[in-house]
Amino acid sequence: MTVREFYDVIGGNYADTLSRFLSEERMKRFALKFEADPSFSDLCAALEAKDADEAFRAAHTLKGVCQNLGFDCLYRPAFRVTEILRSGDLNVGADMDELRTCYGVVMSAVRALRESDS
Amino acid sequence: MKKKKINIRFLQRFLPALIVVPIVAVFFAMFMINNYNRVINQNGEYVAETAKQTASRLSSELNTAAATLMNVAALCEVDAANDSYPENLKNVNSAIYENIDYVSENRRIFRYSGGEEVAEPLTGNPEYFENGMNNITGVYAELRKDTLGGSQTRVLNVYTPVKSDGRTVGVLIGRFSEAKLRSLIDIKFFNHPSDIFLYRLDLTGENNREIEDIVLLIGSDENVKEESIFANLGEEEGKALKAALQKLRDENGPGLMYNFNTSAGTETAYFAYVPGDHNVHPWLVLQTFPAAVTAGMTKVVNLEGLQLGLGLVLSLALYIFFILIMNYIQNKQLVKDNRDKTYVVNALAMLYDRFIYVNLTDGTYKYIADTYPEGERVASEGNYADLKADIIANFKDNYDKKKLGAKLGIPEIVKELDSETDELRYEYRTGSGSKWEDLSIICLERVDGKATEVLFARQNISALKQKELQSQVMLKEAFRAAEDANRAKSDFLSNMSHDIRTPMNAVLGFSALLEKSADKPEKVLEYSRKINASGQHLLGLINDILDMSKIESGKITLNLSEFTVSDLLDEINSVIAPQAKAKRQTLQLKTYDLKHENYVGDKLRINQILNNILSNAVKYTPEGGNIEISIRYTGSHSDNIDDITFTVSDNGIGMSDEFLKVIYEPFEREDNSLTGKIQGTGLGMAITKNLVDLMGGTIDVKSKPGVGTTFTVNLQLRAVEHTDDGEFWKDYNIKRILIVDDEEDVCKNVCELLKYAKMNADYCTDGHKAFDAVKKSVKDKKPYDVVLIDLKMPGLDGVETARLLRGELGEGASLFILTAYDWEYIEEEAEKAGVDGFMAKPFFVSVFKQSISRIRRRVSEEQQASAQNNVLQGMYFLVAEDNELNGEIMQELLEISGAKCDIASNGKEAVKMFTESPAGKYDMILMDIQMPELDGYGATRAIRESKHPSAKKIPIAAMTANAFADDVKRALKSGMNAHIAKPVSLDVLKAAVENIKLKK
Repeated sequence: MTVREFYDVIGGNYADTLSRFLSEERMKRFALKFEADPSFSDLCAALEAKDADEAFRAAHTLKGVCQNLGFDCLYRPAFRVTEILRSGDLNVGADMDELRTCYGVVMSAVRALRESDS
Repeated sequence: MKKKKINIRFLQRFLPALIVVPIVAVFFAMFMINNYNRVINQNGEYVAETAKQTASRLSSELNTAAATLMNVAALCEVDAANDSYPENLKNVNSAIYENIDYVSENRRIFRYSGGEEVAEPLTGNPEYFENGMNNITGVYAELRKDTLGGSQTRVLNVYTPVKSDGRTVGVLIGRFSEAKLRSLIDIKFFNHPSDIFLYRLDLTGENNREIEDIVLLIGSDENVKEESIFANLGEEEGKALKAALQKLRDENGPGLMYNFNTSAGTETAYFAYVPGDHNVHPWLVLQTFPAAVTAGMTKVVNLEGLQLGLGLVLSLALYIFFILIMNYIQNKQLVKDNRDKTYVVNALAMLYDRFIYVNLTDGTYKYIADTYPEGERVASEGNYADLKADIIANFKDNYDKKKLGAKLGIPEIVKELDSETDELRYEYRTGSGSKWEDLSIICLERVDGKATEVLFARQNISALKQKELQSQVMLKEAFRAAEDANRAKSDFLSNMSHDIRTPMNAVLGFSALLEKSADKPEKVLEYSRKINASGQHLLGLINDILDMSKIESGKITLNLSEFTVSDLLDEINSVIAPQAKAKRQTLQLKTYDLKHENYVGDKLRINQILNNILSNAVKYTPEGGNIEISIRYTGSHSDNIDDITFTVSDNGIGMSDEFLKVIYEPFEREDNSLTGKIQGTGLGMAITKNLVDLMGGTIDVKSKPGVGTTFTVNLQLRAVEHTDDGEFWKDYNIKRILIVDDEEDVCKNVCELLKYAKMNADYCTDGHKAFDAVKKSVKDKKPYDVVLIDLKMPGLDGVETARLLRGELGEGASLFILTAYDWEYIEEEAEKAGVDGFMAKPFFVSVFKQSISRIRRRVSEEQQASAQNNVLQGMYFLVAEDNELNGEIMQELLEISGAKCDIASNGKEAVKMFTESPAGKYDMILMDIQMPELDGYGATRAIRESKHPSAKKIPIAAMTANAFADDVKRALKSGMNAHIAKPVSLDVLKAAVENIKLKK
């Protein structure tokens, strides 16, 4: 799987990310590192514990990471979830569902990207 | 008849009015008369009171006047010897009397006026002289010339005897001043002066003089004359009045009310005697109430009455009007209700063919509501027994004749229509049998709970019945179809479980063998390989089953989006090429006449279709065989819909005609010695067929055992026109392109495709010709910018040609190798020969453009990177970023720009790292805003407030995704110098650094 395909699959912004990271190799390396990023699990844990502040922080971080990596598909729900949580409202409902789905897509694509490598 | 009715009703309505109006009129007249009498009475009382007062006042005034005159007489010194006006009388000045005359016993009248004394003899024998000489003091009326007007009027005089030495020697006459008298008794009623007369009546007079004197004291106007009370009365009336006045005098009553009828109306008058001796002073005051005032008053009161009456009449009229309106509305509603009822009846009549009224008590029937018996079997009214016989005779079925007929007897109907049942319904076939009828027996009347009168309503229900029967048939069919589907499902399930069990058994069997052969490595290897293969097969089978069930349950939907044909081919190639390669088969991809490269469709599903067909082709084609896939434009419809034909052909083992019939059925695989070894789920073609159907396309297969198979898939896809404006070529400064391929068709095809993209290209059919063309272009100073070379050519091959051309063109042009084959093994050699890149056949403009831009960008990036490094080179950043990954990215980006950095994972740590750092270590701080422990604003403030030597100077840039004006303002307010929007790119960072450096 090429990096371009990877971004196509997850609905990411290949061109913009390439312009910032300057090489596909670097894009791939960072994309693979996303697997270990704890923001999503932090967010889920905080939502489970009903800790609005922590959930907001985690969502905000996740949003930032997605933006940085050009994972636009994941960035969009993360942005919405962040804005809901910003007001202290834990009722993230459908946006969180979308976020979960997109996260699943991104993670399986990341795994595929890793496997195609080895 | 109707008209008369209305007239009566009209009369009924107006009768009250006709009665009421005269009553009102009579009452009104009575009211007026009463009013008039009341006014007259009131005025009478009023005038009586006034007249009495006048009489009383007149009496008192006259008494005073008499007393005064008597005093004067007592003081008067008369010279009896000398018959003259008493001397001392000349000095008397009376407020009451105008002047005082003296009459001597010698019958001479002496008058003193204005200093002169006048004497004249007394004529006749006036009453006052006789009475005076007899020592009586009294009052009399005298006709006197008015001092003002000159007309003669009667005035009052008082007389009294004058004595001298105890003997009566004369009489004094006091003449009243007119003004004085009048002022005393001036009375007005409502500004109308009233007439006051003073009469001296001699009712017993010897000479029958009824009225001796009349004095008009006050006249309401000049026309009032002094005339007899009786002047305008008839003889009878005069007599009556006279008697009344006599009675009044004799009984000394208070007064007498009397109404005179005058031309101005009734004049109320009152007679009152002046108190005193009526024999001596029979003076009578007559005071009248002005007729004009009475008339005015009655007019006012009557007007009020009239208003009242009119008001009454008006309210009555209003009441009648209201009643009329109510009546009208009610009437209208009634008409509407009636009409509604008519609608219902009409509608019912349409529903039912016959209405028959049946009296159960006397056993008769009658057709009603304009319905009549059919034919002439029965009369329209008669005995119920006849009707019943007719109905029963009309039944088609003997069963009905017996069973239903028994229910139509009168006792049976009465029994059935018990207290809880109001309606009976029976259905039966009649006549020829095709007609169905419904008979409803509806209870109309009951006596003691037993039905006495009923209505038979008959309805033709043939159509309804037919539908009912039809739907029964349809239900049966649907049930049968459901059963079939169910059976198919169980067949499918049993097939599926059979197919699953086979590889499953293999897995279980080999794993059991594996257990036994743990000590034999070569066996372990073999078994585990077989387990793996079976597992893979099982997985594929399950995936297909899932797909199949999705398709069957309609859950699969097409995900339409724009895709390019080149991507589609590329993906197919990447999957199929390795499989084909493993079997040493040649795989050829071709396109024909494609005008568009972009279409809207479900790429994934199209891919699945082609992959299914192609993998079958690979499977059922022996090693070394040929497989070809082509995409061909075969026509177009409106709205940019193109017919695209995908053809996959192989020279494999082919299929029998029998199998071709069931090729798309699930779990069908041709069983023969050749296919025995080949693994498959048997669902692939079923899925393929379903997907093609889903897309509205067609699939066709032609095959011959031992010769090969050709699948043709036709799809209609919407083309996306990307109007190419040729900007691309200008952007990359490409003016000339050369194509080199030994197949002229390919060259022409490529040139044509480029022409669509607004680019003209030349072509050569071998390396030598290409060399010449390039040489010429260089010589003409119009060198080719891009050259596309086929890899496999007779004579000079692609790489060799490239090497030749590169020598002529130098570094400026881009050389591409176009090939249908794997280029890995020559990649190195080609690069050395000066080839910039490779492109897979078939040629696509989009792929071509991508390749060009990739190569050009690679070149410019390399150039840019070296130029960029300068700004950030050698800088040392402190980056506050709580996310590890973002931190790493930032670090690496900074590093490739020749900068270094430390990462702080929150605001607190950033402050600590900064304050503990030696002065001048960090050139700049990049501050994330949202951080745990301490956020970016707080951290900035803490840094600015610290005692570090660079605390105030070190540039701090905020990094935030929220680039709202407010956030920027807040960042600057907390002490930051710049704001960098996330995600941070080197360009933005560089610009920010340059900006800060410039500010310094």
